[in-house]
Amino acid sequence: MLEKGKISYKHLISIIFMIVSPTAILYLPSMTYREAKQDSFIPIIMITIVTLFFAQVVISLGHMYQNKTIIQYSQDILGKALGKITGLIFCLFLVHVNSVIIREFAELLAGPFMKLTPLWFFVIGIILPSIYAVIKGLEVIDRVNQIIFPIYIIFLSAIVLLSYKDMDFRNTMPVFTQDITSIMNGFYRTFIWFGEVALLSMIMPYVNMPKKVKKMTFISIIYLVLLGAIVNIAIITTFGKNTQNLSYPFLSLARYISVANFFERLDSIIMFMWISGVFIKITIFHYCATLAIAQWLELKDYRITAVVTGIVMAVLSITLWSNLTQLKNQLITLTLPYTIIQMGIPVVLFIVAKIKKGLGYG
Amino acid sequence: MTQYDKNSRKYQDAKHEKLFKDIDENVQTIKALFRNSFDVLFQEINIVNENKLKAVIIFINGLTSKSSIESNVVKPLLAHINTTSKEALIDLLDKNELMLTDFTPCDYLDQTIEAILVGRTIILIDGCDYAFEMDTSHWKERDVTEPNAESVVRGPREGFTENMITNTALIRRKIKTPRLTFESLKIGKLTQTQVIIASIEGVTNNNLIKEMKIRLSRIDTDSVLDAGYIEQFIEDEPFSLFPTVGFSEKPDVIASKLLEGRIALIVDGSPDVLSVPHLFIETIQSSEDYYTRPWYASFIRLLRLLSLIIVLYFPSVYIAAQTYHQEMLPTQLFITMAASKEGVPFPAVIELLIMSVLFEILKEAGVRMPKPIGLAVNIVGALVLGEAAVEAGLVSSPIVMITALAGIAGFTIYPLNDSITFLRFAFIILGAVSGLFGITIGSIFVLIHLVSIRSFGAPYMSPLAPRNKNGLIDSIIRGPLWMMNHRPRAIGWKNNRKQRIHKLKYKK
Repeated sequence: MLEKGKISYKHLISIIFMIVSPTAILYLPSMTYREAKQDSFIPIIMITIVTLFFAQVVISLGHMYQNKTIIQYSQDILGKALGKITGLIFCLFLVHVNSVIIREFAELLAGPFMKLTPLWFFVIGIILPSIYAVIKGLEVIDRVNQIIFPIYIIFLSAIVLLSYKDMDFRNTMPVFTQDITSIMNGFYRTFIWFGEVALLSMIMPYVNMPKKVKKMTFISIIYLVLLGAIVNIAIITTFGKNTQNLSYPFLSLARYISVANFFERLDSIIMFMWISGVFIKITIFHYCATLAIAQWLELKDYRITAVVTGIVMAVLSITLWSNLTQLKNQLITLTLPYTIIQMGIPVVLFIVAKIKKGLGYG
Repeated sequence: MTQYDKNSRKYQDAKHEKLFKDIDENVQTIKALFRNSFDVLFQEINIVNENKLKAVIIFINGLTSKSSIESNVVKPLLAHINTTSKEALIDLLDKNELMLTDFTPCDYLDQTIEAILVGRTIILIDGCDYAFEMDTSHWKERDVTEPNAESVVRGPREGFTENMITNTALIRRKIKTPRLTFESLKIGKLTQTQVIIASIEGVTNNNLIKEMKIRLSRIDTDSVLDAGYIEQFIEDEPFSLFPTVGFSEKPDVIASKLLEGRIALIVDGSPDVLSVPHLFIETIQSSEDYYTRPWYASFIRLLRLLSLIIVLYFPSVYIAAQTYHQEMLPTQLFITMAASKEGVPFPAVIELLIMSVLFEILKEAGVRMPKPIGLAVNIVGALVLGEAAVEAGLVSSPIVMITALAGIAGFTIYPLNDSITFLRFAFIILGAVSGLFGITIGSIFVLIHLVSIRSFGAPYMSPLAPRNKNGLIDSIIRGPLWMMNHRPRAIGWKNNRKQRIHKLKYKK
C-alpha cells in the first residue's frame, strides 16, 4: 500500500466539509443567484437529497471493495482494460479540477486583493506547501486540517454573524416565484461542487473504521447544506438584487463588516483565514490526484508523482484560461463532463458491480 | 578504520586486563598510565615486621576528602596491618570488616583507573591480585538553589545542581517508590560522563526506554560536557527549528514529567535534566500552572498563546498592512502611523529589521555582559537607542513599540525562544515581500512541519492534532486537577488512568 497512515473516522466530517466548502461559498452564491434569484436556497436543499444518494453509492462501493480506491476497484468491476481507461479518466479529472481550484484561488487574490502581483506568484505560493503536505501523507493533511478547520469555522461564523445588522429579510420575498427551469438551472450549477464528495472513494480505504463512514459523511453533507443555505440567505438579504453584479458576494459580505466603527474592512484578515481553508481543499485534491496516478501506474512510492502532479497542476492552472470571465463561463460548460465523471463513474461502477453480483460473478 | 579510531588506539588508556600479583608492578603500570600527573597521589604504607606487608593507596588530590581517607582507610589499615598476617588482612578486607560503606574489590586494571578518576580511593595490597576501591569522593560544589532561568511564585524553589547524585536524590525525594528506576551508563570516550535514564516502571512505556537506550548507545563521541550534547545527539529532528527534547532545572517539573510517563535523562555535570517525549504544548506550560487554581492558570496559558501570536504575527502583519493592505487599518490609526513615519528615511521593513536585530543584540548583551556594567547597558539600550533613534528620526515610534512588545511577549514562552526568533524574522520578510498571503503560506509551512514531526514516537502537536479529548483538558487551558484523570495518551501506555476521583461532596 502506498499510504500507510490511517485517519480517524471522526475527522471525515471536517475533511468532507473542507473538500466542498472553501470554493463553494465563494463562487456558488453568485452562480445560483443568476439562475434562481432569491429562491437560490431551494437548489441547495434539492442537491442534499442527490448528494446523500450519491454518497451512499460511493460508500457501498467502498464497503464492497474494502481497502481499495476507485482506481483499483474499477479494474475489478470493469475488467483490466476498461478499468484502466476509467481510472485514467478519473486521474485526469482530478488533475484538471484541481487546476480549476488553484486558478479560482489565484484569481481571487490577484483580483480584489493584490492587483499588481502576477498570478503565477499565488499559484506557486499555494502549490509548494501543497506538495510538502502531500509528500508527508494523508495523516499530516488530516492533522493540519484539525487545526485549520476550527479557525475556518470561527471566521465563517464571524462573517455571517457580524453582517447581521445589514441584512434585510424583505429581500428574500417573494419566495417560490421563480419558474421551474431557472430553479433547475441553479440546481444544475450546484452539482459541480457537491459532486466533489466523490473524493471519498479515494480516501475511504484509509479511514480507521469503515462502518462509521456513512454516518460521518451524511452529517458532513447536512452541515454543508446548512452552511450553503445560510451563506446564500445572508448574501441575498444583504445585497438583494445587486448580488448578480458581484464577482465574490461572500467577499463583499465580509467587507460590509464593521465592529464598533473601529474594525472595518476586516476582509483582508478573514480572506487570509480563508486561504488556509482553500489550502486544505487544494491539498486534498492534490493528494487524491497523486495517489490515483500512483495507483494507476502501480508505483511503490508517490513522492515523485506528488512533485510532478503539483508542477503539472500549477502550469495548467496558469495556461488553461486567460481571465476570470473565461474561467467562470467554462465552469458552466464543464458542469456536464464533470458531473458525468465524478458522479457518473461511481454510479455506473455501482450498477455493474451489483449486476455482476446478481449474476454470481462477484 | 577512521583517523579517530587510529588515534584512540595509539593512546589507549587502560587495557581490560587483570591486575598483577606484584604490587610494584601494579603501581608502575598505574603511574605510567597517569603519566606522572602531580595530582594523583600514591601513598605507601610499609610495615617492617616479620610479615613484611606493603600496601599502597591511590587517589586524586582534590576529588577526594583527605580526612575521610585518613580516618576511614589509613587508620584502620594501620591498626590491622601491624597485627595480622597478609592473608588475614586480605580476608578481613574481603569481608569488609573495616566497616566501610561503598567498599568493593575490583579485578581489572581499567576498572581501577576508572575508580581513581571518579574520586574513589584504591587500596593495593602486596601479593593480592585484585584491588579494593572505596568511595571517598568529595569536591566543592554548588548548593541546591532556586534556578535563575525558571523562577516561580508558587511551588518548590529548589533546583538541580551539577552533581548527578544530588539530582537523583532530589527526584527520589519527590517520588518514593521502588518502581522509580535510575539506570546508569557512561558516554564520552574521554569525559566518561555518567548519564542516568530515569523512568517509572508501569508508567513509562517500555518501548520508549528501549528506543532511548538504542539512541544513547549510538552516540560515539569524545566528550559530553552538558546535557545539551546528549539532547543534540538523540533528537528526532536535527534540522527542525523546534526542540523535540525538553529540559528543566526543577525537580518538581521533572518528577511530574516522569509521572506522566516520560523518561528523564540526568547528565552528570549539568543542572539541566532532559525529558522525552517533548511535545509542543509543554512549551506553553509552566509548573506553576498546576499549583495555582485553574481559572487563573487557564487565563495565563491563553495569555502565553496570545504572546506567541503577538511575537510571530504582530511585526509581520504590521509590515504587511502598511505595505499592501492599508484598507485594513482604521483611518485614524493609519493617519497616526503615516505621521510618525514622516521624515524617516528607511522603508518600514528595514526599520523593523534593524530594530529587531538591535533587540536581539541587547538580549545577548544582557546575558553575556559582566553583572556590574549591566545597568549601563540597560540605560544605553532602553533610553539611548530607543528614545534617541526616534528623536533623531531614524526609526518611527510605532516600530520601536512593536519591537519591544514582540520582544517582551517572547519572554513569556522562553522555551520556544530559539524557534520564534527565526520565525519572526522570516515572517517579517515574507510580510514585506508578499503581504498577508506570504505570512499565511509561511504559517501553513510551519504548521505542516509541526504536525508531521514526532518526538520519540509521540506526535509533536498532540493533543491538538491529533486531537485527544482527555488531553485537551490540559493543553491551551488548564482544567481542574480532578478532571485530569489520564496521563497524556500520545506518550503511549495503555493503562493511562492516573487517578479516580469520586464526586466531591461537602456537607454544609
